[in-house]
Formats: sequence, C-alpha cells, structure tokens
Amino acid sequence: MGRARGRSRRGNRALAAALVAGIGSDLFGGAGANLLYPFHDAYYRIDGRLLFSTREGVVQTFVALGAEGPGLLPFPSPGTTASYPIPTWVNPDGRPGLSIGADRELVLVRSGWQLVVVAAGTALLDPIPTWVNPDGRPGLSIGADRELVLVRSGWQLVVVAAGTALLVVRVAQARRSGESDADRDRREVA
Amino acid sequence: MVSTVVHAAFALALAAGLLGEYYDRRALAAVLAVVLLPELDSFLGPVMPGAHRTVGHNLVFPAAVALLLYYDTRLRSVSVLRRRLARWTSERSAERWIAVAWVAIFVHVFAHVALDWVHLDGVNALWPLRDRFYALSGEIVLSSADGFTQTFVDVRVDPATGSRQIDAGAGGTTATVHVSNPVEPRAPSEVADEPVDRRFPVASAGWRLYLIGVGLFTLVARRLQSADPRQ
Repeated sequence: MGRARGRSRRGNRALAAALVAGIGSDLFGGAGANLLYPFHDAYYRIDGRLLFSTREGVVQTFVALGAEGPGLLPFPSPGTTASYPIPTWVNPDGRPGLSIGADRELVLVRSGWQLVVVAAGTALLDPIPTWVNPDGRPGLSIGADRELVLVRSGWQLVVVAAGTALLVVRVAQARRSGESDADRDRREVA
Repeated sequence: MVSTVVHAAFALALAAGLLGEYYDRRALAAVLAVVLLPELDSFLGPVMPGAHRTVGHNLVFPAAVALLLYYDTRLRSVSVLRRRLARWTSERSAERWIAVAWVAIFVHVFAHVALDWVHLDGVNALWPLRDRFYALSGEIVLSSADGFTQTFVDVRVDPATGSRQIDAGAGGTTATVHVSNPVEPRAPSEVADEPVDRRFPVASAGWRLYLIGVGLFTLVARRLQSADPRQ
C-alpha cells in the first residue's frame, strides 16, 4: 500500500514535470503544441502580451476568441498536422520520409533566456562532491578533507585488476617475443 | 523591463529548488524582496542618466556581497554577521538566514539580472567598474553541416591583421542608453507631442507567461507536497 502510494506520487510528479516542461515550453511561444490530439487535430501557440497601459488600459493578446485557423480552443492556431510541419533534428523537413543526407540541426539553446534557464537549473542539481571541490558547492574549501576515490566498489576492482592483468600479459608477451627476435638476429649474424 | 511579475515567478521557482529545508513563507518573502528591490533604480532615472538597468542590475554588487559574505562566514575566525544574527534570534536561525542570503544572491543574479540581460539593451553588467551595457543573445546548435555552433559570444579573427574581435553583445553606456520603464516611459532626449503612456507589462511574450505559470505551479505544488499524504 505504502509502496503503491509512493509510486503514484512519483508518477504524479513525473506527469506534472512532463506537462510543465515538455508541453508548456513548446506551447508558449515555441513551435506550438497539438493540445487536443488525437481527438482534434490543430496546433496551438500561445504567444502575445499582457500589460497595463495608462492610455489603453489592460492590453491582452494571448487569448484570441474567434481566431482564424483550424483550432477549437481560443488560442491562435498555426495549422494542423497536414498543413504545419514542425522540423526536428530527427526529421528535418517535418514530413513523412527518411530525408537521408538532409542538413540536421539540434538546437540546444535557442535564445538568451533559454541559456539563463539552463544555467540556473544546473545549480539546482544535487551537489556532487569531487576531489577538486570536496563539498560540491561554490567556494574554495581550503583545508577540507579531500578524497580521490580510485576504486569505489568490488566490480570496479575486478575491472581494474582485469585491465592491469591484460596490460602485464601484453607487455610480457611483447618483451618475450622482442627478446627472442633480437636473440634470433644475433644468432643469425653470428 | 522584463515584467517584475516574471522576475518574481522565476525567482519563486528557483528559490523553491534551492531553499530545501529552509523553505517557508518568511524565507520566500526575504528572497523576493532582494529580487525586486533593484527595480527601484528606475526612480533614480530622473537624477542620474541611464540609472535603470545600471545601479540595481549589475553583476559587481552581487559579487561583492557574495565575497563579503564568504569572507565573514567562512574565512574569519569569528563571524560578525553570525554573532549579530545569533544575538537577535538564535544560533540555529543565524545559520538559516545566512543560507537564505546565499539563495537570495543566487536568485537575484539569475532571476533578475540575467533575465534583463537578454531583454532590449541588456544590463550594465560591470558597472561601476566599467560603464557598458551588454545584451545577451544567440543560440547553441549542433548541426550536421556546421558541427557545434554557438553565437552568444562571437569571436572573429581578422584574416588580414590577425587581430581578434570579441562580440559579447556590448552596446552603449549610461550616457547613450535608456531602457524605458514606467517611471520614465521614454528616453529623456526624445521629444514627442503625444501624451505620456506608462505601460506596466505582465508578460510581453509567450515564454514569459510560461515562466509565470511555472512559478505559480511550483508554489502550489510545494504547498501540496508538504501536506501529509495520509490525511
């Protein structure tokens, strides 16, 4: 029971993260998101402005009632899956077909504000202690205990031992065959 | 300005991630105050040209405060700040407020200065050491034709002279740049007959509305998470 609840909570968090980060970032000013698919086929893109002006009052252009386009929801719709192909890194022209040899672009950061979000988000990760930075936080930590872990567990020791053994055997083989080559040369010259 | 609402919302999302066990209403209020107070440099505009995006929006002051805080709380044998805080409150809450101060510095740099850095003329990042506005713009692309490309900092080498030119988005100075704000909706040099229109933006682009949504979502989600799931 407890485990099931824990799993469902984790599931809820994963779903929330997927909705907020995965769909939201495309829907709000990105390429757009096909919100009602597969029930109704139309992309939506929420991009506009909301402000208060002393001359014009409240100005709002995010929600467009009766907007043109194929959409059912009151947001501007750039088209449907048939009319609005979205190019991706995997499928550069956004159309069915393989497009072998096409120029592929994987955009990692599209603009300045995205760089700001990435840089800020990196700092939210759990601190990872290293030999150089023992507490994993900004700061010099002079005089702190430093540990350079060479082998962290049994399987790592096995891998290291196997690698070392391989190296020793290869060196020994090379030396033995090398010496015998030289010996043979000397014998042949003699 | 990028709307104050957007700054506050992104600050909330970051603070929720950084405050950890110190997350509560008072800590959030302190962080928000640190993030939003620099906007008051708009009011210096009438007496100091180009004050907005300069006095409260540089990286020098946060760095100086961070260095002072680091020196006082980590390097010194007796920390003045810790002793003062402990006298006003208690030993434990002294530690707590020092942690909140670090979060506030971080959030101010990322949720306020950095977001304004990518908006219009950017920020006077190195003021008062250097008077120059910087605007951050560009993209990072992994392309099958051009490989890894970034255009945020453009380094160009003149093939004739071999001299290197670095374009990191440097613009004008306090004398030439005016970033419009509700206090001074247009540049002082601009002469216009139209009546003054003061505009208070909430979100001027989809991604800013999105950041507001993320901030509010984080606030609500943290509140629901802290409740005991068995009740």
